[in-house]
Amino acid sequence: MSVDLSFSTSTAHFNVRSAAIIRQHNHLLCTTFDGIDFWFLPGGRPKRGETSIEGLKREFREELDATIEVDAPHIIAESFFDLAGEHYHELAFYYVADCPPQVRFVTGEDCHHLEEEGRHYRYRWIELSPTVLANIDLQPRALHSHFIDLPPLPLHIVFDG
Amino acid sequence: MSNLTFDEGNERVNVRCAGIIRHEDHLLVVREDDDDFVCLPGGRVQRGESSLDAIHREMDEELNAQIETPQLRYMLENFFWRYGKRFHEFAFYYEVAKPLHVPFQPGVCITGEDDGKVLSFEWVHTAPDALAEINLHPFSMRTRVAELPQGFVHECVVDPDY
Repeated sequence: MSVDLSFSTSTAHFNVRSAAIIRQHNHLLCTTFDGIDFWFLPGGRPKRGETSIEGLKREFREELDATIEVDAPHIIAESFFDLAGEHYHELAFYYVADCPPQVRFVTGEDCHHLEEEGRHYRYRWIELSPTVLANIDLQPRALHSHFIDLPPLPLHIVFDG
Repeated sequence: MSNLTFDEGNERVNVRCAGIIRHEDHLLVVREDDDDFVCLPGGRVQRGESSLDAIHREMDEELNAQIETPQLRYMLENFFWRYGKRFHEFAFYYEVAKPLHVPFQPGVCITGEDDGKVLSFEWVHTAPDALAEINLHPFSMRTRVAELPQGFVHECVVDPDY
């Protein structure tokens, strides 16, 4: 139970990720850490023997001291992208969740900070408008339109980049 | 390319795709070599390959079938024991139309070969007791093929002995 679902060769990575789509007042909860220049949705990697739901709940307990309730993933994404010169193949489960009460809603500044495994994480509410999203690097870009308008039915999507 | 299979000790994580091929209340299942169970036709997804590309490739390799518009019906996180290993499997099940050249002859085995393994295909009634009798693995699919969902359903299925 201690090993993340992340498997690498010298040049290629495969990993599994669970993330939460948490929306409030037309904003989306996003995170980043020092040393990278893009944002992504909060969550993390399930471990061996752990379901994607259990993994997501554990990550929220660890990172935000928050309990979230989720049902089935709303988006299952198989994506292929390059980062820092390496190839990534990712299987990601995006769950829609209500905002946990521990996470305050503020705009224009970070709403939460965290030090984990030597990384400094920041959390921020980013406005779900095409203009804002066009000017901020929120990954994956292929899902922006689905974050703005949640698909009416669970979506399975394959994309590059 | 390598398969998305990752072993550590007796724990295995893998990603698989399989085809749900039905015809007249029957399901096409496959036995590998002399296994004491059958599976849905399909195989492991490779690095850099989507499950959708993989189902096309596997149907070509196993059934010489060029399939059209496979529809994702189930995405399961399966947890089970097999071959003395503890499996954590991500499985994509696609509904696939019966390839025209695959004969519909319930009770008759159609043999083929893929990757050095003998494959025996047969049509089995989709009733759960018929699928239990032929020992369809994973167990989760015994009750999920007679009726298929609209769109797809995601579920986590943990076998009782996992």
